[in-house]
Amino acid sequence: MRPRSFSQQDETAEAERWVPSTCGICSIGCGVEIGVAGQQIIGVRGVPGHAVNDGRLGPKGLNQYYANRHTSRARFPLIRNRSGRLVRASWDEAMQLVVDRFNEALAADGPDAVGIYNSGQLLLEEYYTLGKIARAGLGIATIDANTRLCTATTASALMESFGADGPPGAFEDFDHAECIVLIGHNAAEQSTVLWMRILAAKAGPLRPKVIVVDPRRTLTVSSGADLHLQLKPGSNVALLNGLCHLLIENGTIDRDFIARHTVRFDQFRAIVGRYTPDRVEAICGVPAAELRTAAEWIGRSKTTVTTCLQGVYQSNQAAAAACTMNSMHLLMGKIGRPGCAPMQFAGQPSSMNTRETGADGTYPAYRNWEDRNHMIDLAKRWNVPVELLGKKPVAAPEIFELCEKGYIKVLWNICTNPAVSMMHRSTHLRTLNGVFLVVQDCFGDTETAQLADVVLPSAMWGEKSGCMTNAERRCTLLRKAVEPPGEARADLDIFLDFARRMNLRDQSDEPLIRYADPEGAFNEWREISRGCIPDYSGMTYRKLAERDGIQWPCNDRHPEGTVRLYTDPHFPTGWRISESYEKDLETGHEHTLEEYREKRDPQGRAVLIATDYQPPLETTDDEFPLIAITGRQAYHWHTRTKTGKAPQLSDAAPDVFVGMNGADAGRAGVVDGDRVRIVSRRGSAVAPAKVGDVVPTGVVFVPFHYGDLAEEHAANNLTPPTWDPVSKQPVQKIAAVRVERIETTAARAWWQLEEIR
Amino acid sequence: MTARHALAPSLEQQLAKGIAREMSGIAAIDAAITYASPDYVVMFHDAKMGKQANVEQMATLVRMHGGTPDERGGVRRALSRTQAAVASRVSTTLTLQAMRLAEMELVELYSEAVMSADGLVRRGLSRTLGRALVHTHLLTAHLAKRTGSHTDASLLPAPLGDYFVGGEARACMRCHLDRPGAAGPLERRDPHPYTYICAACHDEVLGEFAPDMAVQIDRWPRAVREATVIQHAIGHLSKLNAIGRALHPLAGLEPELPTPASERAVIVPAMTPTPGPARGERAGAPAVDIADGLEGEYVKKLFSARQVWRAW
Repeated sequence: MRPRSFSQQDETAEAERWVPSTCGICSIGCGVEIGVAGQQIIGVRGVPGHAVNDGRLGPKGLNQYYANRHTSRARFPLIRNRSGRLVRASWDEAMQLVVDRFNEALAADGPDAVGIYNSGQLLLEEYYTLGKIARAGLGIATIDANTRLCTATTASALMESFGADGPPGAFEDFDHAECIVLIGHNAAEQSTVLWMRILAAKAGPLRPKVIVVDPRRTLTVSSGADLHLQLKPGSNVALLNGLCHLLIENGTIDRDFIARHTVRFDQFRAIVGRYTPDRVEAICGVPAAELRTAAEWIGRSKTTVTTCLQGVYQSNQAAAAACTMNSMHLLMGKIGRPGCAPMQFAGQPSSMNTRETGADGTYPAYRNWEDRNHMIDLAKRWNVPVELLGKKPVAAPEIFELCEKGYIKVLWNICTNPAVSMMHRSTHLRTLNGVFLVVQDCFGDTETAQLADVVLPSAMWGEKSGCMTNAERRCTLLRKAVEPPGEARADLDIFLDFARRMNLRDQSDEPLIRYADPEGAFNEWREISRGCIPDYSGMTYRKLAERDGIQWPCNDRHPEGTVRLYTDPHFPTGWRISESYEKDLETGHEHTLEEYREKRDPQGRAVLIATDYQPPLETTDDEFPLIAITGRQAYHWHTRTKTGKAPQLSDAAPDVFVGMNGADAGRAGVVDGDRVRIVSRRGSAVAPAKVGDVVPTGVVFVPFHYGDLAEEHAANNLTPPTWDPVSKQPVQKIAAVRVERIETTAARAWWQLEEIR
Repeated sequence: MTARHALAPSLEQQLAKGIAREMSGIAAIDAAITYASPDYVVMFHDAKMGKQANVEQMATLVRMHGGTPDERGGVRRALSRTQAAVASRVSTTLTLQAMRLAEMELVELYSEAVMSADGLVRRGLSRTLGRALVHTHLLTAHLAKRTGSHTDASLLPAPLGDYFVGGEARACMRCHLDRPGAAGPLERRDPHPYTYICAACHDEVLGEFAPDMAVQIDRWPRAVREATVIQHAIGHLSKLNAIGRALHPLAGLEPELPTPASERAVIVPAMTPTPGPARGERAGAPAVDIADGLEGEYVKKLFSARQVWRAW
């Protein structure tokens, strides 16, 4: 297949040099080159022949550089003065204020009085440093990342099924698959390059069947699905149970694999056996015949790749559904070989690193916080007392609750915008207003930065060096192309400064953080991860620079990295290595070491997990008869802090809308373009209605990218304060609402205009 | 670092002692936890978190005043670990007795330190004292229940029945007691991890749901409702609420809850954000490679928003 060539650059400028890097938008990790003229980024192009994208890029990737030079970039530290205005300050003043506030809160009330909420967009070296500061320096458990809203369920599902986080497969598995199943994964809008790759594979010799499981008839469905299972929101578990039931009934399972490499088949069969096609149809609304077809295609194909994304992770019974997807693959023995992978996906470009390094509240390199030997090993490598490690992680929704109720007094918010993205938004806006809020960001006017007490300006993509690891465990090195604007600093430099000012030291009274640059941080990380599941010890900056990234584990045994895990197939479920002692999928409570070792330990085999379907906690009634799904669009990323600044993307999707089915719209007297108010039990949003058949009856869709403080249009005004018991990922795809027509406007809605590019 | 005066030598010594003893206590808990029953494992974990918080608080105070905290714990740490490992193999009661003894020493130490401190140091040490007092009373209540000791029961500020409703000393995984309440206790066993939430905590957690969820509780199937209550009960916020609202009074302290953030919120002057592309910014020219077949059709559509919206 010939390489593709995608590029974009300013019409009036010519690149003086092209700097190798990795796309900083989604979790695919496309190889790019950054075009630079003088000290400005003027274009981006895909790298032909690159192992991940072969030259392809999506609209968001091609347009990401406009954000770098936008006027809203944070250029200088800001401090809120006595009259309440954010005014320019020196780095020394700003950092000292942050350090004083941290010290005061820690000294007066203890570690629960401070919190750190970071990102899925930093670099590996930054996450590692931040995690070490939090765990070994400040001794706090209240650190998490916005990956909690994104792919926390990925980690949980992999831990529960296989013993540890770490996606088993690779993107090349899509090229070898005869059947591809996308569950709650709108790849055509969210993983555009992967979707191009899948469509290219459909034109290849295997001509894979593509099955899409989604309540909406998305672009993925219309541009390449062979079968669309249009289920009701929140019913993933029932559907997956039904598929597993049929695989067993059809005999399309691998009994030898099940016997040798898994545990608890009998319990699994007993549960999924209750999900006959008719029952699944009753729960999910998916015709029994379609479910049977899907099971036939999945079961009869020699190779299958399945993905899950936010339609699973941000929905009802998130971890349970994701585990059942893993189980489906285990049933068929479709794991650890080409074309066979349960791909629990990642959302952001470095969300894998958040999880690997511990910036999401876990301990580095998939160490189990409850396992004293894991903690002793880490304490030795960090040279800190083991007694201060082993704290149960506190997840982001809990951190925000602690802020809300007044326990956390100081919150350090790094490279994320919870004032738009967090569920139950109105409560959290008051919360963010009431804590001492430090915002470290490359933009000075995000909705969260507007509420800050201190703003620390940071460098962004293209302005600093370091690594990112994508959703197939591929670590790539990104190189600095230009200097950050004004006095903005690399996030790593800000962390190093903080650690120095806090006087954080190890047991030998030496500075806790001894390195001074990204490569030093990476080299320490290599040693911390040595011998662990995500083993980076065999990687070096030099080696990474010479390749299209390297997939971990990379060590003496696998110097070129590892394409896929569990080829043996031996799983890290034994009590000595497991990252978790198996949590209760209904409550999130975890077995003790003793319980796990004595009764549950699968000893290297994977766990077949099934759960009964439970309806969502958020319920419809006469007052709130519809279910609102929040979600993403092809042209925006998260809260538009980057993509909103690109002319083409902003033109393509300038504002919020409410997607409605024609039948529901008719009942409400709404026609396409009418302004409507969508109301939930906790808030409302106003937007024009986009009427069509993308969403089924009983469901509305609101993109979550928009949330200006002065507007009433944020999707998260509607979402409930609920989260998955195991992964603690908020349920942002189920809010009971009603739609009220406000007015029919003479002006046409923006999507009705011809000039949309 | 902001210039601060050094701590008085006596206070610095007391902090060093406090850190060393808390570190020993943690070492003892780490050793004991291996042999404990699931409810006591949770209780010990939470006790450890409290001790870690005390260490971090005191270490911060030392650091703020220009010193370097010694968090090694010395010989005492190794000794405590060994004692706890031995005791926990023999009996839980013995472990609890040893823990209480260590905790009472800490109460004495912190009480003295609070008296000799002022300002932020006093505030911080009052918090460490509070944790030690709560833990001491928790241990005393368990010992009174387990041994039937009237002497221990008489040390408690409330009748033993306020701490334990049943015939045995069970440790709720939220408050670590077994307090009476209206909704009844929640218990789950194999194949679930052993879980126990006492009746009082059940009631209190039901009262913690945000109003928009509270109105829906009665619609949830019983199993879902109970699982959701457990999920919340073992969460960090709910456990802190239990300490402030329930365990403080049962340790003879005033209830203690912080001021909610919304009450501290101030009106932030409006900013003038600059959403959208920068003024004068012009869209670059994308060069997009259109392949054959489905991929090409999709790419054409993707790079023409009009077509995407038409499909909506």
